[in-house]
Amino acid sequence: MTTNRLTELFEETSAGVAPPSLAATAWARSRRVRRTRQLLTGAAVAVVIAAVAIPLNAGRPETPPMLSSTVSPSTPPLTTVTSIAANPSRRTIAPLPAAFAIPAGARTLSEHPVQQAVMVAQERAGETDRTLRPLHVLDSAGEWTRIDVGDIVRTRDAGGNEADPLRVASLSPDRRRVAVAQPQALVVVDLPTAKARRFPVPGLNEQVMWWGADTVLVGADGPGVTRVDLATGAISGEPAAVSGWNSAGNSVLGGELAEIVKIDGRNVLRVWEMGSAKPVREMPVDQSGLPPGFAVTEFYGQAVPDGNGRIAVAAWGDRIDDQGREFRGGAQMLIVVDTRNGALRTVLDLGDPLESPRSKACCAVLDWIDDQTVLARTDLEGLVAWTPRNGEVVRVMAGPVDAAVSVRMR
Amino acid sequence: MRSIHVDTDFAAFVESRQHRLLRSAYLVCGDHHLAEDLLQGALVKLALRWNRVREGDPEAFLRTVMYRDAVSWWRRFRREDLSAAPPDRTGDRDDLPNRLVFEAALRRLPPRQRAVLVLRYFDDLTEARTAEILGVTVGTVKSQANAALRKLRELAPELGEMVGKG
Repeated sequence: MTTNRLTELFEETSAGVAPPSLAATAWARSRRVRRTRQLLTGAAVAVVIAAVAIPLNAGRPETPPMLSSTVSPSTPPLTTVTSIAANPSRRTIAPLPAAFAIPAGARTLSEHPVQQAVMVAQERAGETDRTLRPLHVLDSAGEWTRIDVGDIVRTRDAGGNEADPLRVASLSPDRRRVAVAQPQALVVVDLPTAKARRFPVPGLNEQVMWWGADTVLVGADGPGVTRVDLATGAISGEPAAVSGWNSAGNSVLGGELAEIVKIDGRNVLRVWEMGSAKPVREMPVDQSGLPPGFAVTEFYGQAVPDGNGRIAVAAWGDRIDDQGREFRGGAQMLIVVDTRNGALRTVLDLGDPLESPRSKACCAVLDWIDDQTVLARTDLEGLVAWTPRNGEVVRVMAGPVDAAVSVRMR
Repeated sequence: MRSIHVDTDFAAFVESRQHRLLRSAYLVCGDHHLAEDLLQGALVKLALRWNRVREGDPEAFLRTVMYRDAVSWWRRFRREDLSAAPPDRTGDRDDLPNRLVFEAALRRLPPRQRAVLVLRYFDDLTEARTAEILGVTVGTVKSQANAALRKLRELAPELGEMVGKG
């Protein structure tokens, strides 16, 4: 009776699911994936890519730049929407390699300390081999090094669900340390000394972000973080209920933390000051500037601040193309949001869901390369640099980048 | 859109399994769009390996990819939908169909526990097969199933007689 009734409830609950017709689409997508892989493999071997080096800034600003005075909070600008090209042009940005490939025999950190990293990467486990992959850092000279200190394990939640620990905001603002949340701990790997420090942070921690040079915020399941002061070793609960799922922190000590959360089904922008239990600003995300046919349903991943009042974040939603075709919930986007008024400033439409189908939650904003350019990981291109001001998108690292990555370019 | 040639065996295999698998995906993730994405993604992976997998157990491959993606997708991209008011636990739910009460309770289980229940009681798989598909031990399947049933009874006491008692 008991298991039979449970089975009946499952049958009743899923009875409204309509029969799909997926074979042809899946077959066609697999052909495109195979073709793309062949092209990328060929390109990696044979194509000489013109390299345009963008020098890394020597350091980060100690204070946030002044907000632009040309934007009035009371008059949100129209949202500019541009679309990604089917095959974006290529440009390398030193020291990022032209294609993502971590060498199998990378040297180890304990034998070769790294002065400064640009990227940290952790390849995802395979479908059959679920072994946790090690973290690797890419240094300023373009060399990969395997992190072999810290005894890092997967994070897990109360339900026993595990996840790889590297996060978008793991690399420190000075690019010399890597922070990863661990069950009952925070581990910070100091790259120049090849030493790992373990801080006892209670809870099933899953998220990390930096706030200034020496403070790491550690999040578990849901809003609220623990503050870890690396200079003093002090560990304390943070009054601000910011969520590590939604915010990527702030590289500037004292800087605001912005996030987009869902409250009663609405997308809400919240901006926090550390130490304050109430957000300094909270407002609905203003989509009124979007052209007809466009709507954002869901923002996902950590929102990355530019230090000048904007955040860049990935999202999906609705779009209508110039032939009048509607794509409900199937449109993937990267978006710049003004944290002063909640308005969508710029949207990068990631293409025709039929011609270039993407997986849900396909993409992640990684960093601002400079004050004009967003670096993002996308499932079809690899790493792209997007300039919201003019809509330009270039592919800076050929994919697929089947890995969690954390990048700091300035 | 140009017409393409679809491998007839692949098409026949998908045709015979897709509806049931889509229902499984929906039960695990609770979202029609996501369920279709999950199944579609798994089918693409199957199509890429069709020549190698077709002689083996393509259904097991498909189910493994889909369930593991379902759990990992939720883990990577879940977001909290914060509610200003807590859910009403004191209201009279006698009028609600059991299906709705059950579905609401199911949504509040962690994804792996949902996956274990769906594999065991909707897909009708053994504990051993469930463990293989999720990449965990049989002991984990047992403990997750027990925890899930206990949680369901807490969340929806009116279903107590149906989900694990007696």
